[in-house]
Amino acid sequence: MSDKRHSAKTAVICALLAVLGAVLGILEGMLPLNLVLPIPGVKLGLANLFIMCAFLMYGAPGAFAVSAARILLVFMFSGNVTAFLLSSAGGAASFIGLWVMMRFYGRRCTMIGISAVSSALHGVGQTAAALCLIGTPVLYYLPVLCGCCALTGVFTGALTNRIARRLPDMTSILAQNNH
Amino acid sequence: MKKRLYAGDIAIVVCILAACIFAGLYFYMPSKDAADAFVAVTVDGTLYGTYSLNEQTDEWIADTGVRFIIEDGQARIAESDCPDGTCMSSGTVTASSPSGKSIVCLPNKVAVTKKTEVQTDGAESGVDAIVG
Repeated sequence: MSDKRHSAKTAVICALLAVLGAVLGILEGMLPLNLVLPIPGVKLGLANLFIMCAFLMYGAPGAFAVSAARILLVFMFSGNVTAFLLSSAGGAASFIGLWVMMRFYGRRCTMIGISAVSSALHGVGQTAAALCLIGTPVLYYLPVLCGCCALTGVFTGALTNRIARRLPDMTSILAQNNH
Repeated sequence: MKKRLYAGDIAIVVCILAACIFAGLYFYMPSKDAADAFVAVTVDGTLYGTYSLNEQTDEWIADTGVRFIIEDGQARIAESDCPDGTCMSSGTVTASSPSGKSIVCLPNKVAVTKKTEVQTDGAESGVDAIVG
């Protein structure tokens, strides 16, 4: 297990996941979801999929590394400081939620529930940061934002489940839980 | 995986959605039309100004490139130089909007919030009197 954690292969795969997350994040940012749902900050959150895969493959440290790298990459491409701060706060909250909820993985729930919590917390974290930057008006959007985040979380969670099933060797935590 | 969907998944999602729906129902109740309804515009967290919903306003908010308009009792953001433009399709704030309803432009850090006299948060508004 420790060999697997610290190999070059691990680093490469984490880097790939981070880049995939960053690119998909940028692409999905171009989708005009704002027209369908005029909520500031709503998006599909596909990057969360890769962070969860990283967690399944390499545990909490891997997921944290992929998450941080992804946020930094998007910032480097977009140069938008506000977005970076909101994304960091959301990512941090989301990661903590993921970390806590993974204890229940395989026993009480699949990635669907975990992802819903993780995405909803991303929304909460983002709103908390926006609260500091912009002020209390953003609280108005919190219920809708978290509701939408939970729903997109279900979607990404379902996708992660499928990926985990197809790659049983890589998603080692799955194997550890004997599922 | 033994099963594709666990009871825990459904429980979690239902709980989150229920919490959001209840919070939404509570906060989004339309308020009675109030003659003294006004909107507070904040930039970067500090109060920029308050405008009564009864008067016509068409103003470019200083330093931000956001133009907000009050017309026929409806306040909205009409133009903005932000990359996503959510603020412009966020709808309007009227006298019957729930108190606290706001239109926010995240990149510009501008927020237009509906308030009524009764709800004004003393710590937040730096004005002693509302003109209009």
